[in-house]
Amino acid sequence: MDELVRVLAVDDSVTIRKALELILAPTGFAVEFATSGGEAIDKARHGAPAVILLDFILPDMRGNEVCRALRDDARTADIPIVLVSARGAEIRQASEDAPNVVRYLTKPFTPHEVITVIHAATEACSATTATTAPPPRADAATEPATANASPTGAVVRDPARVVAAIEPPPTNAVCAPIEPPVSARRPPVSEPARQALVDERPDSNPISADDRRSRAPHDPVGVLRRAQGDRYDSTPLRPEPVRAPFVEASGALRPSGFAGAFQTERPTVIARDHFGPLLERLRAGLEAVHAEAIDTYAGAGAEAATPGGEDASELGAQLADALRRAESGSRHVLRQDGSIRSLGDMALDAYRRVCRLLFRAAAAGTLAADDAGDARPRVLVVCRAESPVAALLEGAVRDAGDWHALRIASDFRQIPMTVCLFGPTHLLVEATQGEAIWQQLRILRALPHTRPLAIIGVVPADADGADPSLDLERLREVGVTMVVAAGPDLAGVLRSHIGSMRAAA
Amino acid sequence: MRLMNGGGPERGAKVLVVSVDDALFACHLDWVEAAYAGAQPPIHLVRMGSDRARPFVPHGQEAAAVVDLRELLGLREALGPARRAGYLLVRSGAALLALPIDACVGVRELDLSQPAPVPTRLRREGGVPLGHMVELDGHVLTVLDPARLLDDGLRDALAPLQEKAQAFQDRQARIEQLWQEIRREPNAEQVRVFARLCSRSGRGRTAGAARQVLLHMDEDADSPPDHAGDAVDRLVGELLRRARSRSSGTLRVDLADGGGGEIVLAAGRVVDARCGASRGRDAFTRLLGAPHRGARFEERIEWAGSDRIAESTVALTIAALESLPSGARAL
Repeated sequence: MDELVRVLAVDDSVTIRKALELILAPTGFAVEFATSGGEAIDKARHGAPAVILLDFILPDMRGNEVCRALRDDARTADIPIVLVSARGAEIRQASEDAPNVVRYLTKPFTPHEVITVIHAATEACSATTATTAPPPRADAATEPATANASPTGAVVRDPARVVAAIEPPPTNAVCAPIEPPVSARRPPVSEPARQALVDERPDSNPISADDRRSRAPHDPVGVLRRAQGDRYDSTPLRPEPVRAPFVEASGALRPSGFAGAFQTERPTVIARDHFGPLLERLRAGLEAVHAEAIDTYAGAGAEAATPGGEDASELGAQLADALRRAESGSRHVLRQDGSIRSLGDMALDAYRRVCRLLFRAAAAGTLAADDAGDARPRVLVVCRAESPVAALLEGAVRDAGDWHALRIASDFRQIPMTVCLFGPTHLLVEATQGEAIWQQLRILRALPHTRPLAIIGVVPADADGADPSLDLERLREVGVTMVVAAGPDLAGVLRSHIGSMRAAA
Repeated sequence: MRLMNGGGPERGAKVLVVSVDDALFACHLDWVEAAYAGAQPPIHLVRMGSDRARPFVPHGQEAAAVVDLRELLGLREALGPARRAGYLLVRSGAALLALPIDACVGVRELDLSQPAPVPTRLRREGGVPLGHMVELDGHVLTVLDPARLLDDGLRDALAPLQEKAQAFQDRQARIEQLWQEIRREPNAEQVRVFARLCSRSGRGRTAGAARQVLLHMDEDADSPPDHAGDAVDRLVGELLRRARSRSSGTLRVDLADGGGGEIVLAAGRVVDARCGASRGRDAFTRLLGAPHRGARFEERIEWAGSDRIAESTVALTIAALESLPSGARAL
């Protein structure tokens, strides 16, 4: 029986370690992991791996330092090292003074790339030393070994991957990057089959028949209870028409047009209408923003700083292509690397990237404050509907105009959750109300992330310090920092206080 | 609490509105897989780390990790654990989540063209809000974005759950299959595997009962038990020895309180039992659990009565031992 090739994978990211485990373990490699440079050196000395996959940036050391330490030790000097990083320029620099580095692997990587580069590393080493362990089982070695390797041994970056450098972490950080391409799992697709895959036409909504939904609906009749109207109904859940992620995306990206997420027209039409102007704005806003500060899902920055506007343009082109395919009835795309991807997945991916771009634009201040959603005061009003100050508070909020305001008039137990979600800058509280509200305010005080919250008590205009319902000591205890009398100009008073508080903050 | 649909044409999309800690949350129906009342779904635990167990709800071929909104919002420590009335199963990316809820308020046709929603301040990876909040009919409604419910840390933490839960469900299916086989025509290997799987699935009582029966199944059929067990164990041993030798007759049991009972076997299978006024399985279980002074077997060639018990003696004994209090069945 063949002895397994021992691979030492060094990476501090649990996602990458999991990905490597899932890629390598089934293909006949014995994988051992280290999470730091020190641990890697120790394991290399005692475990004698056939090859080391070394992340360039580790918590305690840089990759070139680890390489140097391994090279200086006779026990580990001959172990070939594959440097893994998203920072191509840095690892090239590291390679110049590290002779034990034989290959490079650029994040994000595909399973095929990982296996190929390990084979290349072990073969190169066995050619020079003739002492390395035998190759892994044949089923793992069926891929061509030169796909991404240049004559000089450096990994040639796929041009498409430059775009992927700003790809945000996938929703499922473990599954998405490690899914092996179809080409790595099955024999090459014959031309008729390939055509069938590409031209596979759904019965209805092309994008909605995403993989996720096609396997998701489970209809346990008699178990599933679905709410209909305001009551439970034992009618089993019927699969609803599924909206494309485009639609979800458009809603999330346009706060003022959130209804887009819930429209019922054909999603592709909505997407085209919404994404075009949006991406154009993004492109314009991101011209001066560069990608180098943006993490890839592998946890490191992009190799080169690229203007965000280019990303937006490329993303726009990608979305347009996906939409065109969707409109033509395709459900899947056969990609250059031989893998097949559903349009739904592509759209979700694009959605995440748009969100990331939007975030960058907001962080860089290149989008209007309204798009960022953070500039306006967020005011949460806690006041019973029957309170004497309720009408005045409502009027004040209405007159204030530029506040994001929400009101809680009953069920005060919701206050902590609502505060946590809404993140108000100010809390306007009916100050004469008793324990029901104050109990929740005490809970709020215990939450670390709500400590900056300014709580303003509002009392009727005729209340004074002698009013027995106005317990200032208690108000102070629950965190109320200011009490305002609800007069006719309550809106002006509140605006003034809130404005000065924000200015002070 | 009611959320009234506004008048006019229905232009929005349907969301399911649920209540948690008096706060209202909405989820687009496309992402809702199911809503379970609290007592309906079986809740299982899988050990996720060295000392943490994560509950999950089996749903079809998948496992939905139970994640309370208090946990998602970072309020677990401040508010503590909650007892909820049901579960809302929503898909969040590749994960299926079971959100404990207090109530299912209803389905609402939500048209957000008029009330402007505010993105939540709580954001997820990429700065995307967890949802949007809107005030409707005097209530604050948070429309959750299911794909953004989990932060990266929790998503990573939940990643092994599906695999572990799948293993658990596979074990359950295997246990059920083995049980059916044990009920029909048992052998020692089946019972051994059954006991092991039950033990690994947290069914310690069943595993203990199966192992107790297994002790007697492994004995030589012709020799009396060589271990000194308690009265229950001796009775089980005698019963299984008769079952192995395919005896027909009546095992008369003298109870410590002066009463008695009998277990009728036909070709090694228990077909009936009597203890006081009870008959059948109930009587069998009572005979095994009651203190008794001894038992004697009277052979009989034929059994003319009707069979009240149709399963194998081994399965019957395992089920009876499992239902006994732990003190009564201990070896």
